[in-house]
Amino acid sequence: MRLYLVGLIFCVITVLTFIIGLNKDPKKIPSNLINTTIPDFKLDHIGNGINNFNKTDLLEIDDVKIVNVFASWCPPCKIEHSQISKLSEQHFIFGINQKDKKNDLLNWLNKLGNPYQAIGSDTKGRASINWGVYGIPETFILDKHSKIRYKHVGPIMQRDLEEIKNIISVLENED
Amino acid sequence: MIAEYGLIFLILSMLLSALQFLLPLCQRLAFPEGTKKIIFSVERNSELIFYTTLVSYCCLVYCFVVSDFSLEITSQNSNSQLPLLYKVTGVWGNHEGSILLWLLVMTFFGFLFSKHNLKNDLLKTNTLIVHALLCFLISCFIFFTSNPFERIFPPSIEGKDLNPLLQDPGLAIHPPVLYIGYVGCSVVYSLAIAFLFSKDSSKEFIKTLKPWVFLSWSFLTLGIGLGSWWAYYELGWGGFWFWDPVENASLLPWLTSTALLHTIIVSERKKKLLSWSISLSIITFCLSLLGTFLVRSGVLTSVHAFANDPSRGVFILCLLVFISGAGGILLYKNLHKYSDQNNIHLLSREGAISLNNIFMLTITGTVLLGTIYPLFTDAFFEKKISVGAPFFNATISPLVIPMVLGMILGPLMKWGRDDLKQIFFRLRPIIFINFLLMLLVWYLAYRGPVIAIIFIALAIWLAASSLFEIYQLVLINLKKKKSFVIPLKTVSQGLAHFGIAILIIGATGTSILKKENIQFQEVGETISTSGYEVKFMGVSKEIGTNYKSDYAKFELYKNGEFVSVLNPEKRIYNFGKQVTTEAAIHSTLLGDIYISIGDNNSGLWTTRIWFNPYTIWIWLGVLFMFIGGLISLKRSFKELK
Amino acid sequence: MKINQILILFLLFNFTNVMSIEPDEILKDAQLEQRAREISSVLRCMVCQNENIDNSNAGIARDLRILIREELVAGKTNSQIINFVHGKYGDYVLFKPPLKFYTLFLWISPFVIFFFLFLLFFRKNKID
Repeated sequence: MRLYLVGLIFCVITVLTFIIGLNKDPKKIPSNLINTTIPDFKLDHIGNGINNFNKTDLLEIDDVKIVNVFASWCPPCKIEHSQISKLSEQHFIFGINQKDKKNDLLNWLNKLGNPYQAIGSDTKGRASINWGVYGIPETFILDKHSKIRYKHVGPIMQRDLEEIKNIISVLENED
Repeated sequence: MIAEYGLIFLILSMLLSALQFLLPLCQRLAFPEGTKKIIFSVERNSELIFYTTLVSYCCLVYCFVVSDFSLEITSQNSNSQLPLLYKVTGVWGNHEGSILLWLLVMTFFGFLFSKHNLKNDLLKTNTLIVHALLCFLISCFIFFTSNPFERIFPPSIEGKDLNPLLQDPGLAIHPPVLYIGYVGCSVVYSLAIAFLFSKDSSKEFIKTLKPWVFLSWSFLTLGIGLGSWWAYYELGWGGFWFWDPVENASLLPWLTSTALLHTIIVSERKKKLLSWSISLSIITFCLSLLGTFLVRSGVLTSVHAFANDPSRGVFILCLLVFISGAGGILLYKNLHKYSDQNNIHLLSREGAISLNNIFMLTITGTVLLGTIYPLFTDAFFEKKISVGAPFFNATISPLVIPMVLGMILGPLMKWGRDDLKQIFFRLRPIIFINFLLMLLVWYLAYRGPVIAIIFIALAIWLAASSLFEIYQLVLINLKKKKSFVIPLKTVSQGLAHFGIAILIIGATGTSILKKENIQFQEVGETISTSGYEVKFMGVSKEIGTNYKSDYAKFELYKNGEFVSVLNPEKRIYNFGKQVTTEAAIHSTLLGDIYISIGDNNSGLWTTRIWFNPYTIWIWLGVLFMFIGGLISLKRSFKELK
Repeated sequence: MKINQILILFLLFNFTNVMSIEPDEILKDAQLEQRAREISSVLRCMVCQNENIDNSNAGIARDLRILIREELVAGKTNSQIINFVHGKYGDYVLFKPPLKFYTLFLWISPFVIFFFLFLLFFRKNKID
């Protein structure tokens, strides 16, 4: 009797798991770096008047910052570009340019505009690993103390903009 | 128009199966005391269900063959340039078509079952009724959530091509074989439910159950083997088992049906373990449905994932809950009637079988839990975790060791009650042979992990004792008939166990002794590995029916003597530009030379050359198991007549 | 909806056409290379369906393979490297889940299931 009960409980938990599982996206993986201070990273200079940045640059800014990982060879990055531009009107956006060719990047920026405060080149993908990036584009939102508070995986679409702005405004009102 | 005919016949089949379980139900409700004879012939109706489904299925095949791209399914999964073979196999290379194939096999089995000549009419009728209910549920699933005859507007001019990975003869026959296995379980389930309803003697039930268990087991074995073989040569790096959710989903019913076919033998011989036979019959089908749910609902990420849709997931989940719930309740209410026959001594043939089944079911439980655990932590703790090959290897391997021991000792034990001393006495020649074999293993020892050496030693022991078993059967036969004939009827167990043994040797050998050469190779350059020399002769551009390929040529030499030419390819398919690697394999009993090519780096090609020792033994093992299963199938079928 | 799906495809395939481990990644030191393989076999490729980074052709998998080898050459131990990657990507990257309160049941499950079945079987035996 008790053994049957154990079996029954097991089945109920399994079914519950499946019901909850059906409403979740298995591909959405949360960042492990949420609520930690930004990692160490080193980016290469691009030149042509584009500023590079490093960890201390980010730490010095006493405001909410956005770090966007992108590349010119990545089609979804092009799609999110106009949303990134909109965000750049009010916020600092730093770009980590992953495994790109200098000329491709410059053409890309010329054509679409440069919304970034500074762009560093991550030629070998090492800085991206330090940031826990696994597919681009990815976007991090940092609070005033340069802690990572939110990560968006995939392109920021028009409909994501509202949520992102909300998160930023909450962070702006923090101390 | 043909597609609409297909849909009409699908609906017809659905209605006929509804009729088959509704009419008898109404009759019994209306005349509870009346005659048990049912007013219409379920046998004839089962035939009709099969024929209507067959017509519906043929309509779908026709749409694929004539490349009718006004259907959603053909425009997504076929193409006018596709070779005819893949147009036909493309029918089951997608969710909708494969479920229709599933229904077709299921109704076919209903049809086959209606041809059985059973003494117990009630058992037969009830089984057909339960089976029709299952067919009805599956056809509802097709009709409401995955209708293969859906039109699109405007119709496409050209189809999007079948997934290139599926354009391969190995994978073309893999799904039907696997479905025969899965769907065989549905008959087993129906029989068990029908038996719980009709309060009859167990003898006929077990006798009827047996061929169906052997049928589904044999084809599950072959299906899993084919899938693994396909992965080996198609995925381009020589792995054969990945513990992927989809593979686990097919492994689960295989494990329980293996346990089931062992308990059936006990149930038949000693009238024991009947409650286990009934429970396992029900569990096996539930697990194959669970596997379907995991694969088709998109709750898990997997290499083989189908395009998915949440409504399908909900439907299969409801199906799963209904079917396993009904089975569970019936079991709970009736099982006590059969459990008094289970008095079993551990030191006996049935004791060994039972203990081995416990290990087998522990493996089943662990694989099941490992597969769904990431879902569980995500649902209840908001944590994403991965459970993969390292976990399964660490937990399953230790469980296999006592099982192999059980397979060695079990067949040597007597039914009923045995004595430890006598077992030892009977074992003496085997122990001696094994001692010599162990010495051989030590002699050939390499710096492998300890568990691998244990596996190899045990597997050799098992192979030896299985062969010894067959030899003894031959000897008995020789004394009786004075002729040297292998008595095929009785060697099935030995063959299947021998198959397991060489499968373990193959799997262990290939995992730890694998030699790998990955390099940039110049045209004309020779790479030597494991006694072979592989000379790279160059790459030519070839154009296939629906792809372009880099077609490489390698010459294989052994000790300077020419062996064969190997042609690995890298294909780019015209539609979707998907790249696939087609490895070239030279198989020998001692090992495979496995070559795949990569990119061209200004004249230097990336070539990957593996020497995979004993890999072919894995498939040979599967083949032996399949043949063993078929022999038992044939015998149990004859006994039924 | 459609465009979104296409985007996800782009994201997943990452567009860098590298086919699993490349010859230029392999270390000269066979022992270090062997250790690199051991490490890669337990790390999951995050963007792939269910592959370890050794068998994957995604860009991130290649980056991680290179990282592992650089760190090995720099003298780090296997567990140091695995811990580093685990720290960056979380439990999801490990194919063998770490022992935590929410994975405890998974790790003890073979024993639990075995004893459950054993009990079920021998309880039946006791009845008569």
